[in-house]
Amino acid sequence: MNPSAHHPGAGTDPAPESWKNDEAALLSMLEDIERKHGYIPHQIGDEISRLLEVKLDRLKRAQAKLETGIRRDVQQHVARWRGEEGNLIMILHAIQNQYGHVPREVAMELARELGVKLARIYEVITFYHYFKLQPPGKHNVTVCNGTACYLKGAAGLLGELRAQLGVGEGQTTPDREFHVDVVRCIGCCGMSPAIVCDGKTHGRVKPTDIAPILAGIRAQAKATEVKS
Amino acid sequence: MKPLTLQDLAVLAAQPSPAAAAFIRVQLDTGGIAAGAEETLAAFRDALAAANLAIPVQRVGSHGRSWADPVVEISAAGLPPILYGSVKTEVVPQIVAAHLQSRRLIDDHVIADARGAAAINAPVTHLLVRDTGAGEGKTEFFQFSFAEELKRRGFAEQVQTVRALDLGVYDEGVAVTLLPSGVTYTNVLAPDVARIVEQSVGARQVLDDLLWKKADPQVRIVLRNCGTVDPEELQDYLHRAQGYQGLRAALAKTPEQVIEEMKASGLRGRGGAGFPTWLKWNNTRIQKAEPRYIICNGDEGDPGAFMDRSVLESDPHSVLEGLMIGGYAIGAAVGYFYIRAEYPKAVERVERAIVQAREAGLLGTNILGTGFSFDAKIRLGAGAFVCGEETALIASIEGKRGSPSPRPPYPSVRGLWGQPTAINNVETLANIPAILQRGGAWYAGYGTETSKGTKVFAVTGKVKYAQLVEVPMGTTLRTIVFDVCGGVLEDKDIKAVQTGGPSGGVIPDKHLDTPIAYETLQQLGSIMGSGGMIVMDTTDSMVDVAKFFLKFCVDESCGKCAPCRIGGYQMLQVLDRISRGRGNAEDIAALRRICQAMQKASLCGLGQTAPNPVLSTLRYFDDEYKAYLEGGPSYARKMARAAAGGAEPARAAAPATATAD
Amino acid sequence: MSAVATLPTVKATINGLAVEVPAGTSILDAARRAAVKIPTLCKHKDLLATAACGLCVVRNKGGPRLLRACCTPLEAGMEIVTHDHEIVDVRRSTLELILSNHPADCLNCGRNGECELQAIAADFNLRQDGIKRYVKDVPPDKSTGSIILEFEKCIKCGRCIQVCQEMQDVWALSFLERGINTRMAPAGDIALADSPCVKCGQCSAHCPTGAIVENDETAAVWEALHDKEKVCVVQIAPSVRVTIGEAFGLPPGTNLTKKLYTALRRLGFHAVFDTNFSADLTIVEEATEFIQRFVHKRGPLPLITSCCPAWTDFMEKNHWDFIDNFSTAKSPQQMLGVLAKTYYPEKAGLDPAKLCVVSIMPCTAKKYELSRTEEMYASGHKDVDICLTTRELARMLKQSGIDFLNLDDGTPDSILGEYTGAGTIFGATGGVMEAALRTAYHYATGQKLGKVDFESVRGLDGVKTAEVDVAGTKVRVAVAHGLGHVSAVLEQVRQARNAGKETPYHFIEVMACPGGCIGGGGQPYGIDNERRRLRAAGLYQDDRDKAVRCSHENPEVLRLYADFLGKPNGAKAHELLHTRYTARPLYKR
Repeated sequence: MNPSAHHPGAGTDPAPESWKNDEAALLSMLEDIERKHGYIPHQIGDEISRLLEVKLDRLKRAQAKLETGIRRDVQQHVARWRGEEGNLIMILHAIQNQYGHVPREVAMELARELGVKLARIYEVITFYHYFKLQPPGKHNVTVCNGTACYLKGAAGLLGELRAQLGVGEGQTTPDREFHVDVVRCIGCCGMSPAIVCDGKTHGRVKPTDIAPILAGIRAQAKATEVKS
Repeated sequence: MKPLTLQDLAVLAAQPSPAAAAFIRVQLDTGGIAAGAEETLAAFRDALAAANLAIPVQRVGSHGRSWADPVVEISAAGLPPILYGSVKTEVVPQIVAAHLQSRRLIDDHVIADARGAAAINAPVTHLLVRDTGAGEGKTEFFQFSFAEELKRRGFAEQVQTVRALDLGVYDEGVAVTLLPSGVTYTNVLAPDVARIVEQSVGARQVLDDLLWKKADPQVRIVLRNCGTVDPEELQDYLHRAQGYQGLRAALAKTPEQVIEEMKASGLRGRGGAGFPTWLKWNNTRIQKAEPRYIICNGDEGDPGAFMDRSVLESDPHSVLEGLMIGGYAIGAAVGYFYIRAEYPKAVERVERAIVQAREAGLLGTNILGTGFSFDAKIRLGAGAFVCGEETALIASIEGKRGSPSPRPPYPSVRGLWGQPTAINNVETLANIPAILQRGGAWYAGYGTETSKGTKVFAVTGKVKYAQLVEVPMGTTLRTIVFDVCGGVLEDKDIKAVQTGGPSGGVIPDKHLDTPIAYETLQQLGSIMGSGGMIVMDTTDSMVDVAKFFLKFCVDESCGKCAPCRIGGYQMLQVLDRISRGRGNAEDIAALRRICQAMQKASLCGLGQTAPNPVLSTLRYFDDEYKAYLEGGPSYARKMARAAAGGAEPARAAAPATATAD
Repeated sequence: MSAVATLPTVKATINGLAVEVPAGTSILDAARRAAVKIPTLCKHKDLLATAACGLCVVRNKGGPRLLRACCTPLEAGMEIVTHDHEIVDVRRSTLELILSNHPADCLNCGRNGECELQAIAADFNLRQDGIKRYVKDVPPDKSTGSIILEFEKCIKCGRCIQVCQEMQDVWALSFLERGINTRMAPAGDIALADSPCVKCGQCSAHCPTGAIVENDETAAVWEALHDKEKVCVVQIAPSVRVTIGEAFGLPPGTNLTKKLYTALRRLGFHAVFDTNFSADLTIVEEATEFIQRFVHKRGPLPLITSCCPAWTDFMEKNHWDFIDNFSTAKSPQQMLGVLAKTYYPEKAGLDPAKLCVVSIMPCTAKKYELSRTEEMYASGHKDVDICLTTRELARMLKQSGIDFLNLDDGTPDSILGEYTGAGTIFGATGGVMEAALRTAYHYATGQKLGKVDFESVRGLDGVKTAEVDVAGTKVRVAVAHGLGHVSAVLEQVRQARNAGKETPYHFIEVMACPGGCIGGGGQPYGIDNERRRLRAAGLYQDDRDKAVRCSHENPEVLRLYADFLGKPNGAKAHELLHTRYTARPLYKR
């Protein structure tokens, strides 16, 4: 499943901000009406509250749908591993594979469903570097820093990525397009230094290769966007 | 599928299937796939279909020559099996057209193993030529000379001259390998060309003065099936690799006898510490508590080490078979594979192996009708090096933070879920079927007095041919680096070899002739570890290397106990100061003091050994630290090159004069 | 000791001294018996070894490496060396490392002078920072108003986490991340107030440093005392009288009730009340409630005590299906508070708005209770204004220049001050149950109890059960202390309830802290079972010394009902002395 397709709790949504604007617009409109009439006419008040109720209802339904979705997902993962001792990490793997990270809502649902304390779940998630609390970027660039790659210039690649994207180890660009990570040996020591971009391994990479690789990713993303 | 019986296995043992006459084997492990092996495989299928050729294309694991990925082995057209390296998709049509359709090999891709042959029993078909000396510039000249000479003497039609990618000999001038016999001549000079063509090609006589006679230092026990069997097909393993014959042999014995056999083999844990495997099994077996568990530790975390990944990906059934034999020996009914989540291919193949074994009745109840019941499960790591430590690994399988707990109690007494548990490393387990099949005494025939058998190393870093190497214990570091892996990249001078990963140490060039064994490496201030071997040349700063490994340990410390949690961090700060030229003499003293606290007071192996890279570089490269203190990083680099005899003007400036500057 | 003697023992030597200890004894404990002190910052007598600090390393002769004394059992034939040149060097370096990761602001720390890390650093005679300091700048969490988490001062010993998760089953605190970034924090990086925390403060009582401390409110009390407009009155909880002495070097359990009265008056309090008085009042209300349910079948059984605010918080978050079983009677602190702002000003002719009620409690959760629900404002004002823990009072007394130990005895105010033996044992586990039984027996039978001691509900077993014969009917009671022991008891009740069977217990007492209030999270540092025993013994002695030992016989309580409240559980009593509970599930859907 595409990790970016399903992101509860992803911080990318501009919704809260625009809502605040809506609220400000509503208030200023009401002030205007009040200034004009000296009071707010009944019909206008009723109309506004009706609209707000409709909005609220939609919000609740959307939320319920999301919650049901999460619950169903979590129940499925738990059902797969129920009865197996020590299943927490395997379930977290399944969740991380599905969402690309472990969203808070999902962790809470998992605590309920599995009967494990939320504290235990967070202890585990934050201990293991494989599990992420933040959603990943749209494109993931992973620099191998195994000894072989280190000796052959992984640091230079990381520096070049920082120069190109403005982010370093474990960071995501502000537009959430690229996430840069450093890992301990991807097992391709024969072609060091290596980086992995969206699942594709590039071997014997030189700093000057970074810009074309990134350009390639961007071009490809654009091409698929146009297609769809 | 009908469950297998002992009888079925006995039949298989007696009459192994004959080798397929023609095949194309594409080596598909993570490294190969990253280099494009899957595309290569598809390209072969397409090209064969287009050429209307019905040669089976097989998927196999990796031989270990990761430098040459993607690697393909071809046996066809009446030629002996030929190994091709760097087979990108664009090379595939060339190979199909040349090799398969006209029995001609293509230049710059053929890998040959030069060892062993001393007689020319068949007409020569190909001459593989390569200049193995520094610069490697004379290959083309000799290819031309041989071709001309062959033409002159009328052999041009029968014999092709090919530029080889690798002939398995290094720094021996121009080398020529004759196919199909494999006879190899080294240090071939221009006048020898005519002799070779006349006597060896023409009269099938071996030229003794040129003959390469050194035996192959490698012995493949762990890697016996890697690169030859299909890791995704149980049938292939059963029919072509004597699969599960070790299990059959074990089940014919009592568990005590199996342990006895292990004792005779002298096998010691290949995960690093070198604890005798039989003793570990015995300690678990003698516990009264039931159930007991056996765990395969596949949490290979050393940066720069990929032995376990390669074995799990290339020969998963061997490891599973080893796990089952261990389970039988200690009286366990459940075994766990604990594998890094960063190795998805290994996980996939082990998963598949388990499913296939279950379907074939090799896992489950009453296996092979012997009454032995056993099942295997997989648990994934999640990015924590410390989980390679036994007690932390157990905590991780139990679904907790991977923090080590104090030992005793040892896992053999109280392990997984509080039950007796044996934990064996992947390589250890891969050895076991072979030992059971061929006997402990056979295995003990390899190696040294205290370290028996073979050991797999992943040789990387500044080495020409980064690859997996399996050699008998007692082989020297020099043999591995220079005779097997071709020496240092760009023909620079070697400075040191680092073994044992972050828990190990550096071994300077003056100790390269030390025979490898658990004890000898320890005496040099390093450890055997799981088998990572990193070659460093004179341009590598030892302070940086120490910092690199220490940084690793700091990142991977579980944070439970103070000496490791704070000690590692603080040491890193000190090293950082020194490497930026801001250190002082007190910093060195502080380093030593923190090292002592970490070594003595840390709870687990990670903390106890984390100072090793620092201590061993301090021990052998004290001067480099001093140079950093005196003049900062650039001065230190200059001094290091000078000390190594590099072509720097400051060559004469010994450290003593440098101080006076 | 005879039981110990029958266990298999091991013989070994420690620093050449022969020792013989029961098999399984740790080297640390064995050394203690041989009068050898091995330093440790993480091992606590209440808890399992976490093996975190690395200071307790010792050597076994011939062994390859040093051993952790805290978690290595002494084995037969061992020749342990606890102090030699290398061991002491290693310890010193480790200690320096720990200090290098700890702020050097002892003078501004809540644990100054009482800190285990400071004490060990002094023992090692450290004179300078050996290693450059690295402390991550993290703001403290003050969200609960009861407990403050000073993350910077945490040495990651793991005690609080074991306390919070294992001992108390609360699971508010956890270890997050790893390596140098390992930290103690509420899971998911939320404020402690939004976590499952119940403010019991056991974490602060077990913390070796100033990383978890009570929210010190002594300044607010000084402010109020110096405010000419305000009339300050004070109440002291049952257990405080037997623990405050420890802060002045007296043995645990020393009863200082009368000196406390004098001291509090000297501090400037206008009136000194005793929470023991309202404990008696609580019993009258609660016993009446019990009789209503047990004899007259009005309301569900079991009745569960509710005077511990950490417990009520825990119940609302984890066991809200028991809300109807909870006694609605307020805790003694709140009962005294509401009376001090209604009855007392009426009698004394004071303006309730100008009153400032201060309580001295053994407990950090009591700070939270002050504004728990709107019923805590039943007087029309905040019933209790400020709550101090025992530790804070000790600090105030030391600041004030009062030579506490040499004070003359004093008396409480004659109104809201008199107490019985039943009121005083509230401070120990089982005490509320025992006091309630004394009164319930009388209410049910109309008879005076011959022997008032119910030994079976005393002591430090996690769960104590008993059957008491009341007018021919067996009353089955259970007493649990330490929140970790509660779930098992409630689960028994739940199962019976779900199966439609009769409840296994009629009356359950729960105290959040092990040992009850004498082991409270706000008590002087250095808690262990020995201290819990001695402190409880002090209270039981106080009980025995009292002429009146049943709450319903407290003459002031009787006068209060006659004068002001009317009948137990009557309308006025309900308005002022009772409260409600709300389900607050932890992970809301």
